This record gives sequence, structure tokens and C-alpha cells, in this order.
Amino acid sequence: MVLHDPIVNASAVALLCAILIGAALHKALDWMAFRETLRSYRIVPDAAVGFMALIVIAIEFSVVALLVLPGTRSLGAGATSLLLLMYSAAIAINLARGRTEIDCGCSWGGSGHGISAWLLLRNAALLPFAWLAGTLENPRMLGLGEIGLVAAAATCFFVLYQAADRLIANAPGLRSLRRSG
Amino acid sequence: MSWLAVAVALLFAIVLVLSLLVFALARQVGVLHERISPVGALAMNQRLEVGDDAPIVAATELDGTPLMVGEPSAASRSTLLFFLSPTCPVCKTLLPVLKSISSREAGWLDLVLASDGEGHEAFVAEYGLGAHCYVLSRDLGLLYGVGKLPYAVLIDERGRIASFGLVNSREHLESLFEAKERGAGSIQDFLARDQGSGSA
Repeated sequence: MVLHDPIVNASAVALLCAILIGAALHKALDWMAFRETLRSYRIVPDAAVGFMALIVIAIEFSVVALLVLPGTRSLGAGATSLLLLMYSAAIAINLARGRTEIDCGCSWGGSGHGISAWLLLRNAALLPFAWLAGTLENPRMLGLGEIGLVAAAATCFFVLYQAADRLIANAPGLRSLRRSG
Repeated sequence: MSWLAVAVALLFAIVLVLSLLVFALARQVGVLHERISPVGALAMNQRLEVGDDAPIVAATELDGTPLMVGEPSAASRSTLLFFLSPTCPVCKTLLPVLKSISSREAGWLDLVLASDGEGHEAFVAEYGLGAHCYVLSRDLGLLYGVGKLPYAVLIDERGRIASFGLVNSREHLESLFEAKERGAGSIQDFLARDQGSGSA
């Protein structure tokens, strides 16, 4: 099946790695803000927030390592899906609690935008990529042109993902403008 | 290279450029939203007026030392009164900013952190606020008309209200100093005055 071609597989892996590395770096660089974000989700007890924040960052980096190594790729893909589902669950729990004003902690620059159902959709849109990263038939060495194709595809998806993220971040601003206008 | 490969390469280049454009547009929309939203601290207060004498409130610091908040300073120093709570996430993100402002402006500004309720010792220890003046008083918030947190009031060296507002970012805090320097209560005031004189 063409979906399980190494080109598709490698593109999905590259995309997920880029997203995960971005997420982990963002959390690690703005460590104080991430701790506050985690605390505001009210999922982990206050005393364990610092420890859990470290664990989350470590898990994100480890999942990247699992994805990159061919031997553990399907394990990494499974872990990615699990991570996405866990984040979605944390967001869904707080949406259900009506706490939409908390910082989602999901974009660069500490924009401080709230959480919304769009984030669940965004995470759900990444699940098929995790599935593609975990399935591979007839592995082969990729040629130079094919590697270029993988890089181009992954870059396109990554930029589109960032654009979607930006638009989700803009949504509350737009809503408040509509209200006040 | 076959025409098919050329076509794929070309299409990829186009899609990539388009994706970048969409991303750039989304970013620009975000920046515009930020620009439209209040640039300075949102000055909303039912009780305070810029230029009024600040209400003088007897409060106690965490260690029990009494402190008269709002009194004109003998050493002609201004006071930044910052209202916060251990349960307010935005307040916590502003703490590093407050620390840097308080050390940068140490020559003329005293920082007073104000709160009420319980659980402050652990909060002060966790965020290293021991070096700062931290007062607990319920009346302080009421008399200064604080409705939402984090809120800041800048009191000048003569004990008058220089500026105040709801602060959510470093820019909002800086805008309070800016407003004091320019003699306007808030950036919104200043802009309104500026526009008024511009159109006249």
C-alpha cells in the first residue's frame, strides 16, 4: 500500500519529531511558565508539579529518540499517540470544568491563549501521522531525491501545523473583538 | 529528469511557499490582535483617580512589622503596590518581571506586594520573595478598589496616585511608569489626550 511506503513513513516521523522537539524545547526554555501551566491544569497535585514537568519534557525527548531509531519506531509511534491522547484528555477535563481561560502552554512565546475544542481537533489531526510513522512495509534505503521529498513534505506539514496553531491562538482575540465591536 | 519529477518539485515549491504565506498571515493577524488590545495596563477603578492622595492604610508585613501603605515617603521614593494572590497564575508569571524592575528601579522605587488570605509563607519561600515587602491586608484591596488580579498601583513620592491598572504583562507594568513620567494616568488617557490635541 502506498501509504506504507518508506517515503510516507519517514515524512510522518520527521513531522512528529519536529513537533515534539519544538514542544519539548519550548517547555524546557520557558521552564517557569511551563510549571505554572501544568499547575493551572490541576491534574497533578501541587507538590508534584515540578517533578512532573521534568518528566513530561523527558518523555517528549525520549519519544523523539524512539521515533528516530528504526528498531523502536513503532514503539515511538505508539508513545506519540498515547502522549497526544493524554494531552487531549487534560485539555478535555479542563474544558469540562469550564476552565477555558488557562494557558494552553502549547505555542511559542508564551502567548497565554486559553484552551478550546480546536486543540482537541489539532491533536486528533496528528494521530494519523503517528499511525503512519508506526507502519512500514518493505523498508529500503532512501535515495537523495526521495530524502528531498521527505524533507519537503515534512516542512510543508510542519509549517501548516504552525499556521493552524497560530490561528487557534488568534481565535480568542477575534472573539473578544467581535464582542466589543 | 522526467516531466513528472519536475512537476512534483515545482508543486512542492509552490505548496511550501503558500504554507509559509498562510503562516505569516496568521502571525500577522495575531500581532494585530495584540496591537488592538489595550497596550497599557487596563485602568479600571471605581475608587482611585490619578493625582488624588493615595488612601493611607495600616497593614502588617508577613513578619508582623507594621507598614503604612500610601504615606508620602520621607526619602522621596515612589511605591509600586502590586496586588497578587498565591492562586493567581498570571501573578506568578509576573514575579520575575517584578523582581527585575524592583532591582533596576531601586534608586527611586519601593515594591510592595499586597495580598490577603492564607498560605503566604510557603508562596514567599517557593518564589524567593523574602527580600521584598509583602503585606497582608483585606482593607488595602478594598480601599484601592482592586477588583481583578494582578493589579498594580503606582504611588508617587508625594503620596499621590500616579497610575494604576490591571497588569498582565511586562509591557503593562512598564506602561504604569511611562504614564507617571508623562503625567497621564494611563496610556489610554495619554493617547486620548494626544489624539485630542492632534485633531484640534
